[in-house]
Amino acid sequence: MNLSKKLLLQITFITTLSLGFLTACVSPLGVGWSAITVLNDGVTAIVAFESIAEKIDLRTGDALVAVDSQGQNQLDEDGNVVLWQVNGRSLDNAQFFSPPIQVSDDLLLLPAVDLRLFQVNLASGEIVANETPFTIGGSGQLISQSVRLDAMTLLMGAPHGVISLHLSEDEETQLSQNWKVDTTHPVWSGGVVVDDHVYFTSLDHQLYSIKTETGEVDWTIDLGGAATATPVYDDQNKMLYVASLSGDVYAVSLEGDILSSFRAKDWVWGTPTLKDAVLYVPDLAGNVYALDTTAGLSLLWRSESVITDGIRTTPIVLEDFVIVGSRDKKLYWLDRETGLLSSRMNQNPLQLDGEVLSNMIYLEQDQALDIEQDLLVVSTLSKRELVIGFNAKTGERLWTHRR
Amino acid sequence: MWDFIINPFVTALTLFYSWTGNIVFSIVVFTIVTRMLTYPMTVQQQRSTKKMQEIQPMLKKLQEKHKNDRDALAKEQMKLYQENGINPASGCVGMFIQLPIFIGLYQAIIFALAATPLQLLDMSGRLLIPGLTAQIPLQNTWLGMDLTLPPTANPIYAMALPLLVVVTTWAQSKLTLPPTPPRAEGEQPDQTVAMQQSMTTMMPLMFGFFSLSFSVGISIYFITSNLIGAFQYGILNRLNSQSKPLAEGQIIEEPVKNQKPTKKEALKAKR
Repeated sequence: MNLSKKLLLQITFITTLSLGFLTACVSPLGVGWSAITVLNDGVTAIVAFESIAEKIDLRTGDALVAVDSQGQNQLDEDGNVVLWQVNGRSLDNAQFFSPPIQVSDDLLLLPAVDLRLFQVNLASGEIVANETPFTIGGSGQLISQSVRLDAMTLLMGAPHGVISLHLSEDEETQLSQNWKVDTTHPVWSGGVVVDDHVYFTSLDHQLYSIKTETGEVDWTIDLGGAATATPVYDDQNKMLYVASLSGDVYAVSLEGDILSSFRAKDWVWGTPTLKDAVLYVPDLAGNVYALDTTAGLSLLWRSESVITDGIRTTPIVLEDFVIVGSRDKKLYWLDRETGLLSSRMNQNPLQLDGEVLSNMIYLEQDQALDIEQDLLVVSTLSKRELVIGFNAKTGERLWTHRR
Repeated sequence: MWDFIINPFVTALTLFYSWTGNIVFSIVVFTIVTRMLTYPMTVQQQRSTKKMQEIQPMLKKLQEKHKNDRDALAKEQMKLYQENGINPASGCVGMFIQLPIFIGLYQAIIFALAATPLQLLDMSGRLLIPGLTAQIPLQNTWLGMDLTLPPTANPIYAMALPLLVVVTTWAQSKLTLPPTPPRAEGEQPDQTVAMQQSMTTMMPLMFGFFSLSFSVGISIYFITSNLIGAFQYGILNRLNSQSKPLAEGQIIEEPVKNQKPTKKEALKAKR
């Protein structure tokens, strides 16, 4: 083979390889991270991640089995128990990201990213309605967490807006649309309901105040950047705290006036936590800020460069600790007074197998519910550690749920 | 690993977006800028291809002369390359330099368009100019098409884009390869020429096929890049159209930069 021919072959080979590499490198990422909904019994949860939703026991991390209408465990043809599971692959490749919504003791609404809402039997895991699932109109993705307004009304961020859904329970639960508010970009935040208004943020940089009854927009505020965090309501001071990807954190009155603000070093994606008049704000540079809400969001402390990657999760604030999970695959217990790594945890963060992006769940010790110790439930992007249960006070790992 | 390329690219794309207010225009401007920056490499690649083409008759003669002695043929070929200042790998070198740029560009477009929470999350920290965050999220729809989705998930007219990718890639390939000299009667078809021709056919089809699964934004990049490339090669071909194929033993007169003299030449010079 002469050199020219070799050269051409090499070029062809390199080009093909590069294009293949290119495709592999940036193959479409998953939509997001797992969504966990704790059911009304307080000890079981639905974990929805990618194309599978499953039911687990939060005390043990065990996957729960499907139960038939007689209350008996469902068995397959070989006599093995059938796990409670909704497989999106058998539902025209449904992917799940938005947290499932418990409608009643036996009904769950499972939102799929592609705007379909599946009605699922909470005992058996079977899709209830045989007909086509309710579909939210338009194109885009269903990302945000829904808000249960009352027994019959559900508010959720729709692609380019917010939608109010009416649930009717005549013979079979039906969904119908009450109203829809249009935004110029999608709504990824959840909403907070105060009196007869719901407050949402949107990727279109706005904080919206909407009348829950009619969907009429009362006012909007420009946040200076796209916003994904759910507004936090301060019942004591009757105001909202809201953050955006510009890094700005605002205190806003219910009439739509900005009262004070604070600038974080990076994007604030996760919803802050308010506890005892202190607002704990995480940013995507790995900082946690403690802001005094009684003094115009003045800085009390900032975690001093101990966290090496972004924090998307909402901080869990306990008596002594502020617990955050990070993209650096670690779980941090910070001293609530100083923001330093807690000495009670030997100043060691806990190493995990995957990034922590899902909001964590804290369950207080409860003998009646058989929760023997304060429980911190964490979900990672790794399927080997999809959900983990820790003792919230000692950091001891109690169980791991794999997929 | 690619962050040192991707982050400036994402920043540039977002900056162009802040000026134009349209993601497609910013992809086009961005592609023009990157093609202009890599123009010297394009020229070098084109020169190398042209020189290779010019020595084809002599290479053919050498192949005939040494058809039973591969080592001798390789030696003579290398000698011919050296005498004419041709680096057989120079075409590849240009490509190797351009590939990371291409991969970086591809990923930058994916990140900048950020369609899902994970993609937007990965966009954080990539903008190197303060204040550009206010542009997020970039408007990722154009003419009713979602630029983050492949043509198959868009309205039917989006399928025109992979077709345009095929056509423009073919046009660029045609212009990249200099015209082949006419074959004499009874002469065997040249394997290199045959391979070049098959590449001219296969590459556009391959790119068109990839465009079916890539996002529409990438197709727009391919098309723009191909059109600019075709324009650049067209100009280069016009400038080079005066020169004729070399006769046997003739050496390309153009001085070659950084060309090391052969041992023989060095000895001659010493004497």
